[in-house]
Amino acid sequence: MAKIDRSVGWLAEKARAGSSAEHRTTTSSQQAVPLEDAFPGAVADPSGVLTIDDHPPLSPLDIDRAAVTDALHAELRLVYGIGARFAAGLREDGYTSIPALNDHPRWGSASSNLLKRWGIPPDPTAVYRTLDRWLSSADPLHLRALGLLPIESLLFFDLETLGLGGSPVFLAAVGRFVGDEFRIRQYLAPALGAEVALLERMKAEIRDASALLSYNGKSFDWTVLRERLAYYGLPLHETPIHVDLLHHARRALVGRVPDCHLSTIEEHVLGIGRSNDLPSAEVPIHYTAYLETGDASYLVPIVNHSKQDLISLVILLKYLLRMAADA
Amino acid sequence: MLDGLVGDLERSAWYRGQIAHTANRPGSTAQHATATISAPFRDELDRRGIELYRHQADVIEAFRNGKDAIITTPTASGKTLAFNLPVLAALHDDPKACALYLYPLKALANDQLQKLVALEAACDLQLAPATYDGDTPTSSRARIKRTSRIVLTNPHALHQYLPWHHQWARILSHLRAVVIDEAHHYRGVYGSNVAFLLRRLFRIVDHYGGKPQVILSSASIANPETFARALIGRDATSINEDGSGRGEKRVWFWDPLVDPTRSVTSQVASLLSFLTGRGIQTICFTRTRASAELIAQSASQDGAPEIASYRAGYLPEERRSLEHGLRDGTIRGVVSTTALEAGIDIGGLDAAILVGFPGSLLSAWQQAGRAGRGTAPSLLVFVPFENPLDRYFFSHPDDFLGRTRERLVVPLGHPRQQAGHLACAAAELPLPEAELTPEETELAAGLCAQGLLASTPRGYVYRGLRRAHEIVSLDDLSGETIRMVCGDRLLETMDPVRARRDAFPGAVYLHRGETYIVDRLDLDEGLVVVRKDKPDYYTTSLRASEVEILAREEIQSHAHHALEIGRVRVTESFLGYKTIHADRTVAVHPLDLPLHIFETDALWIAFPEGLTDLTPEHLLGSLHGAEHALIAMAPILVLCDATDLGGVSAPLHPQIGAPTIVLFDDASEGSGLSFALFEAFDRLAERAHTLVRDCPCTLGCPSCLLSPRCGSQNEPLYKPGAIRILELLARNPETPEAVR
Repeated sequence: MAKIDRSVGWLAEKARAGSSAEHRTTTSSQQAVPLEDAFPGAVADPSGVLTIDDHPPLSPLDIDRAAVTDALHAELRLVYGIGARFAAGLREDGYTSIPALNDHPRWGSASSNLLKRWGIPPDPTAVYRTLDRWLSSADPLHLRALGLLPIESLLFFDLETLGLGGSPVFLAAVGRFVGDEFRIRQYLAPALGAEVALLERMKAEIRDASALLSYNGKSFDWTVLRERLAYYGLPLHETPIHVDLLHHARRALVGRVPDCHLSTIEEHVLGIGRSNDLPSAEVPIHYTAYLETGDASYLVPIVNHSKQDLISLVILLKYLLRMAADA
Repeated sequence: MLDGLVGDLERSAWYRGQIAHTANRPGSTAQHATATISAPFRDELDRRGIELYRHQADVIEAFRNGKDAIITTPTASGKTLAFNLPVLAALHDDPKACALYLYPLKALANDQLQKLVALEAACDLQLAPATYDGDTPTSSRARIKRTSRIVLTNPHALHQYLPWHHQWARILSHLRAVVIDEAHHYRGVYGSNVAFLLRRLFRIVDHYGGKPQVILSSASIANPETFARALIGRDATSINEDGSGRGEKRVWFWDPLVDPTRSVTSQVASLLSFLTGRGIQTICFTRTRASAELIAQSASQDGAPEIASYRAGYLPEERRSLEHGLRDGTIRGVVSTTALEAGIDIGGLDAAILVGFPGSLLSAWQQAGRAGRGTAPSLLVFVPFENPLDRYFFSHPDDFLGRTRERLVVPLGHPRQQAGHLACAAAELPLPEAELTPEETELAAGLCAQGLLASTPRGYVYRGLRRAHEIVSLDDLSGETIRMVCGDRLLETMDPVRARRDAFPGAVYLHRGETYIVDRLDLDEGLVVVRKDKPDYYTTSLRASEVEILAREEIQSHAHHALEIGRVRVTESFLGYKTIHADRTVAVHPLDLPLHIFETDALWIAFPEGLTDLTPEHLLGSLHGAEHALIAMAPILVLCDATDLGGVSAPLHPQIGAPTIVLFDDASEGSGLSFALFEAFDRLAERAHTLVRDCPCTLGCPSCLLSPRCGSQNEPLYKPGAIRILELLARNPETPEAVR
């Protein structure tokens, strides 16, 4: 056994280096809180995943549906071959919308092809494909085009993992509007063996949604989800519409915030103060402490933290939509 | 061109008769064979007027028959074409099939890429071959993953990419071939790291349904089958008979000791300017960049035309202009460190000079292979230094010219290393317990206890807070790693055992032909700080070791001695270090380093009935001398440096109760050398015996018994007794009684 300790000890040491993981786990001499006490009303399914539901009070989401088509038509750069310079020239010549270009000798066929591809009313998937191709991912049209989709089919999501890339996902939070209510559902893995079931639930959630909304989800949450599903041999082939609010916040709030962490934006722009919040960096440490002690009280602040992330996401979206409409 | 050369040399004023003897390795005629290859390749060969050599045809046929293969024919025998043809043919036949090429160095991968691009264009294929490593621009990465059917990379990069396997799903699921070129780089502890990496790769490929065949290509080695088996974990057909025609090789054995008034460097410079002055294009290999530059400089002063010097780390443009100059003949001579030994396209030259034995026959013949154009005769000059290995090959031309090569050892038993790769594997795909050996299961349980793995119904899952691939590096020999830095540049990483031995404060350290001086060794911080310098001396540490035997694994009993192998605990103390100038000790310095204790593998020779024909006063000197000779000759059999082995002799070993010589792997956890030498011990003893017996000295000299790094300053040594012991060990009865 001593030999085994020597052989694996160096790895454990290196794995801990640079994190403050050690000291948290040993402090709990108090009674370990069981899962059902920490999350009363939560439901465990046979795979072990714990489902936690909540519906925080949030005003309904309202996206101007009528103005979307006009806003899309006004962006000449969406036509194949037209860049910023051509667009400016065309506007000077009185071509102010894509349909107006239909008779243009040079761009007529490209613009009518585009409109045909979009259809009437415009097909969201086709529209987002065009937007992703020709516009920066921070262009407000990505936000406004959400108006093409039923509000109830938008899925807000956020993952909590044990570290950066390559580490297990132990908590996934999704939120959607049902009527006037914002409903949050969190999937928690009480043991790492339940991760695969958690990921499969997420896969199903995504299949049912028309578009995803996240904060830094394009680089992180979505990548991790795909990587972890692939880890279990369950590749995710879909590439749904995905609006990452980080990209928009960066552009819209430049100069107004010192950095673009969600918590910074909450504080400086949205006026949300988190009390007793768990800093993101401590989330994996708390979960590890839970795994080692079985004390579910470590999980409560994580679950609250992830819930708040989702609520802030909605408030931020509303804020950014207002800015986009005003512009 | 080579005819009459010796006569001309004898008429040179500076020549003192240094050519002690000459030998000829006869040339051979090319042996051709046909192989089944598809039309575009056949057409291309016809266009280029190439007729396949037998070994090339053998590789093609082996691949076609679904076999893995290892090809170990000499430098410039057309190995690249031998593996490129069947791989590209397979990719031609199946429009989805892909191949992965693994190179030890980025520069070698880039060279190979040029060849693949040329062949692809000539055969009108669309494979989009690309290198993919740390230098690949972000803007090309997605395209390579989407479209390339041949990807060339290196082990370090592959290690980092494996966890992102889903991004490579297209290539992995259609992976048809894995080519491991320059495979002899993967030996020792680094080799076993690569072996574990390849097992991880194959597990992932299997998950995606890819069924690749493997082709390994290596310099000539003694044990291609066992090496391949250790490295890739499966059996490979060995193809080692060279079918390419070779010109005759004339070899001069040059004894620099004949003219004690001139240094080796200055003699070599004269020889180089003599040869190049006669229009003989010559490459000269040295151990250090400093001596390469010195030789080039002083040959130019001698009036030699167009001599260049070359070292590792040259920019690609510089290298290309040198290659070009050598090919078109504007450069008549080049003096190089080992950097030009492999993988570089300089065509054939007329002569090669080896200044000092490069450590292995494998390297020696890679270097010698740089001379020789087609079937024209070429010249090789071997200039030995004054140490046992160099002098042995100098006085035993048959061994130098013979077909015998070193064994490559890939030790797979390091539990620390295994634990690291287990963690990485579990971070790549869940690791079902059923796939593990009992040893690995134990390690996995230990990793779970440390919170690095979690046992789940799908298998072990990695759960460390830091990425497994970040905490396990391929350079990480045994987990404890010392980093050597010069300014803010990382030169290399090493095991602490080696750091104490070679990188103590004040040490002169050689790294890829460049010399450095160690300013600081901080074992707690894991850091060696060096600076570039050109000292005219070298250093060696003086150590004393005690060895405690922990476990015996195998015993071979002989008439008068027993050969045993097992596990030991070594306690090493550092006495100081010597600075040596022109092979003479100029000073001994004290060294303040803590004791070092580590476990490793060892073999020992015990004489249970004593050595009655040696008087007690000569006993230790005799054992000690035999120990030195055995260590000095180890590199003949196994690819290693004599400094990779430690030794201890005792007239009465306290645990054995008899006169004993212990040889141990000088690396914590062992490097596999003792086991390899145990297997070949009779040949080792025979070489050591020949070395000492045939050396003309009477008391032992630097060419036979004296070791510059002996902790007891070569005291005592008794040559007649050492010869007696080695004779006993070499006279090996045919049927040793093996007891487990």
